[in-house]
Amino acid sequence: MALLAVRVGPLDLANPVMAASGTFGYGTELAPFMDPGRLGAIVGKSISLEPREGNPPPRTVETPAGLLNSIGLQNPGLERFLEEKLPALRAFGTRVVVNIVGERVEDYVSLAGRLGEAEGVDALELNLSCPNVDRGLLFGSDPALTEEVVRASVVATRLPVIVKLTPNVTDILPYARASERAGAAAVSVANTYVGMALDWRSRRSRLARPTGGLSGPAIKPLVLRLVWQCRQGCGLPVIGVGGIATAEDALEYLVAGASAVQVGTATFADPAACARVLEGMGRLLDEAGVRDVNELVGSLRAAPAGRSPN
Amino acid sequence: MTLVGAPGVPPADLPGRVLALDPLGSEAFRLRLHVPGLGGEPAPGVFFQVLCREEEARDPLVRRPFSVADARAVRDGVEVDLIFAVVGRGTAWLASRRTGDTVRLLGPLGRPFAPGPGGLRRVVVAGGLGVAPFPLLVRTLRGRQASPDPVTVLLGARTARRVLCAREFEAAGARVRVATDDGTAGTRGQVTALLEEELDPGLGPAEVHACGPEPMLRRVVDLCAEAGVACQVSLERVMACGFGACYGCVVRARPASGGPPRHDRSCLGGPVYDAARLAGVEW
Repeated sequence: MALLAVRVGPLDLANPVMAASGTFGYGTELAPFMDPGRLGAIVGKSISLEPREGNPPPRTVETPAGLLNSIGLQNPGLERFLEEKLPALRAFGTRVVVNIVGERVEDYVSLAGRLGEAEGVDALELNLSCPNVDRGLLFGSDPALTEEVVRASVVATRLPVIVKLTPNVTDILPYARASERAGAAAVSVANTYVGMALDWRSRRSRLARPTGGLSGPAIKPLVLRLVWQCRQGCGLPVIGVGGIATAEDALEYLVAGASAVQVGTATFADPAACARVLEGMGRLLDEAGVRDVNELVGSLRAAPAGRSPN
Repeated sequence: MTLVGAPGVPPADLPGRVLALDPLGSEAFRLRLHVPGLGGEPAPGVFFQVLCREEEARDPLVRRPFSVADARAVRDGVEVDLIFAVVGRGTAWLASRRTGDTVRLLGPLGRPFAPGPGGLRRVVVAGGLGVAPFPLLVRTLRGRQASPDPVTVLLGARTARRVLCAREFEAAGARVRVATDDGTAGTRGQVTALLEEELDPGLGPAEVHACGPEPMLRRVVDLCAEAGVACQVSLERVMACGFGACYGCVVRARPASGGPPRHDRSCLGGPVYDAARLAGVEW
């Protein structure tokens, strides 16, 4: 049986399969269908200081092999998260990563500070790149602001800080490097791509807001390349997240340079998707004679001259 | 006494085998599935998330929600009926299934209709495909007691060929009244005009269950609020997951415990809502 334990900076995980923020509720929603405790980590839905009602519906629309969403960060706020959601998350018995979002640097500092004092939180993931609220992309699309908010968060907490980067920039590397300079433990690559879907007859967006964030298999090749780029150009461990639906997808991300992966949108169609990716990963590694999953991380070779990889 | 509320059937991701796919009216289908793994008959008003593609495919990506139209416990599982029309890629795939094919269902999901105590006139209002959850509800309302409450089903449709399940409701012991936009069946006009007649206080205390297009449901909610009649409506939302993870399918509703309207995940808190939680709300 292949060894599956991985380290993501200071964070040791029983296996490299994590549940992505915003696709796994706070864990209890999935419990009827699978055991969330089997996963390497659970990343909860974004938490803000105050409760947020989110955007009006329709909030999701399917596109070819993809899903556009504009949820708008609906969440119960920090206090109710600590009271109502965290105890159940902890009880699953695996790593708990709390994804946090703010409108000002001070919001991230307050959230990071409070969550650092809470028992049962293993790491924070900073959402600097929500495309679905006004100014949501602010921190994630200016490297200086990214560095400022990450540094302030790192200083405010004892917890490892993971930075979730947006793909909606010309070059992602300055953001990965800014995160590294600011003391982040890892980067999650990447959040959703801003996109649109509309109905030309009614001249209306299919979402209540004009734009949404695209996820799902449609974006996998794009994000795979971002992961590879960050691995090449930045010293931080990379968590790959974008369109993973199968164990094959996850292993491709590891070869591109991810130390761990997050399964997101696939959970919506199959609530046991994370567990299936994990099971399939062990089986495929055994079949391939790979004894330790870490052997794959960043193992991409140059394509032989004159041969197509297909 | 609670009429409906079969003991909760735990939700699961299950294969169903296609028994039949029958045309229903001019536009719709009734899909009959045998689901061996299902733990019991689902309650009226709950739904399944149906995977409308081969499992290995990645498109269409997410499942489609369908109310349980009817369900019958059989020796080795449950037979489940779904009523649908082809409105996109998912339903087109579903409409191309053949007897013996496998379709994956996740459920049962959501909160069912919860009719109040016996002794009321039951009025069911269905607009177009909104008839979907009612064969099971009507059969349950008529079947659970030695002397069942009278049930009146009001069916609204654009035209006669889109009036669905009328004979089935009659066979279950319901009185059926029809309204069509073009007058080709029943009265000409809106089904809510029939509801106004049925809400006449002189007819005795009533309870209303409704499903259909949103403008119809808004009128039903308003009429019942004015008449002081208990009402439950089944709402439709674009839904990605169906089990509370995506936060996509929200409805603005007053919390059951009171207070201002909040975004409520209709896959968990609905799809059936007490009309009192929706009256006067831009849901």
